[in-house]
Amino acid sequence: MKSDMEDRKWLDDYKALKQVAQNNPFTVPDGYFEEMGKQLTSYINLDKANAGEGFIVPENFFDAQKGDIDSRINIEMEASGFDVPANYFDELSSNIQSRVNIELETTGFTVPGNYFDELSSNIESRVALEMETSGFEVPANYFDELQEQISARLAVEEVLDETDHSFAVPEGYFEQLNRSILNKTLNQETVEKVIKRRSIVRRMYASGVFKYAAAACFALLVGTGVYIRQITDPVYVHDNSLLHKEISTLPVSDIQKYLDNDEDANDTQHIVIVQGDHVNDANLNNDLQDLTDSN
Amino acid sequence: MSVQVDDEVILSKFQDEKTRNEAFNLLLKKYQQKIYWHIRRMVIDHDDADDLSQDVFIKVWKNLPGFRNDAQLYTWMYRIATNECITFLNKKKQRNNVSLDDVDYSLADTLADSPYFNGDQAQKKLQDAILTLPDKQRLVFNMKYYDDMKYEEISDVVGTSVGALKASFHLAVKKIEAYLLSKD
Repeated sequence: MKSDMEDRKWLDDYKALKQVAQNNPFTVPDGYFEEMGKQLTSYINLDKANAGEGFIVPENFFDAQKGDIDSRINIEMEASGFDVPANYFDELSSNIQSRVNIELETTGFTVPGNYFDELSSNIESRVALEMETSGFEVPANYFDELQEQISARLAVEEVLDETDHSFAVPEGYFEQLNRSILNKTLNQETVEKVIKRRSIVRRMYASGVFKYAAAACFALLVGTGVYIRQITDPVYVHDNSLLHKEISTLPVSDIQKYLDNDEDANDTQHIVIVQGDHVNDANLNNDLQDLTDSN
Repeated sequence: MSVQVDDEVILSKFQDEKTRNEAFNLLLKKYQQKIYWHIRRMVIDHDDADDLSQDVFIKVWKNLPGFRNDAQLYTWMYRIATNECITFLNKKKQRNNVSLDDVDYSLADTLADSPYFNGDQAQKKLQDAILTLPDKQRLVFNMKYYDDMKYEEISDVVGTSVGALKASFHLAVKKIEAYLLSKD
């Protein structure tokens, strides 16, 4: 560009732009700027008011305000025809009360003096009069004595209920009686039931006592069997002396043979006893007598 | 022809509460149209520009007591107006679900339908060409082409260096020239 564009010579380089008219093509409504000034002034005044700078009042304004309002109201009321006498509202309440009283008097709703105080006695007397006129009479002072009579009768009946002691029993007799009866009846059943209930079926083979009893029985059987065997078929063990030990080694057949061949009176007696032969004493004496006679 | 009041006079009058309204009226007379057209060229629609202009001047009224003279008064006001325009355009995009590429077509339609545009065909075409630029580049072009602002002043407004502004403006002009020539 030809210059630093502080002047308009730079437009020479831009022909198309230079050909455009440089007047302002934009327009505004007629009187716009004058109106704009006024509007701005009003806006500024409104802004000042909103900012609180204009909120000032004359001195004693609020003090005089009440009087001003009252006077303005009076003026307006006079102008409109609505007027009230002086101190009207102050006297209004008492006026209303007095008018109410006057109205009550004129309508006839009044009562004699002390009416309500004498009302109860009047009612009682009238009730008495009505009862007399209806034909139902009662003795004098009947109602006064009635309450006492009722109370006394109640007391008598209570005493009669309490003092019926023609058949006496010891103290606590009936309680004891109940207890004994219950013990003999319901409690017994209760005990039995408890016992029955308490009996528990237990399996014998699971019990330790059964085991010991079984072992004892087994031992008894074995012992009995051994004893019986000993009795029926005793087996002597000759080990008391050396002779016994020597003889025990001998065969039984040899011993039998010796005894058959070499037996004496002592052996005979032994054989008789061992074999269990019955010994006839009479015959034995005769034989011994014969043997003696022969010798 | 009215005599333009110096910014210093306006500021001094504004500091005094008694003359504050007078100062503001002077400020309005001096900068009302500049601010409006700056906004109008960005948003195209008159009603939108009207709303934004009033918002800008109300902000000026509120923040002028804190103005520290570290910048010129009108560049400060331009900065406020520029920020309002950028914010408005962003909101419009979000409200209408318009993509960044389609926003220029939306403003072009507004321009075409606007009853407050009486430019000729060339001017219409130029506006269409300007609307093809990015928002910030469009700002720079408008301030330079229409307002004849200096680069230092534009730098105070947009917060960009003078060199970057020159480059941006140069690119903008080239784009517009090409647009004008391509549509012939």
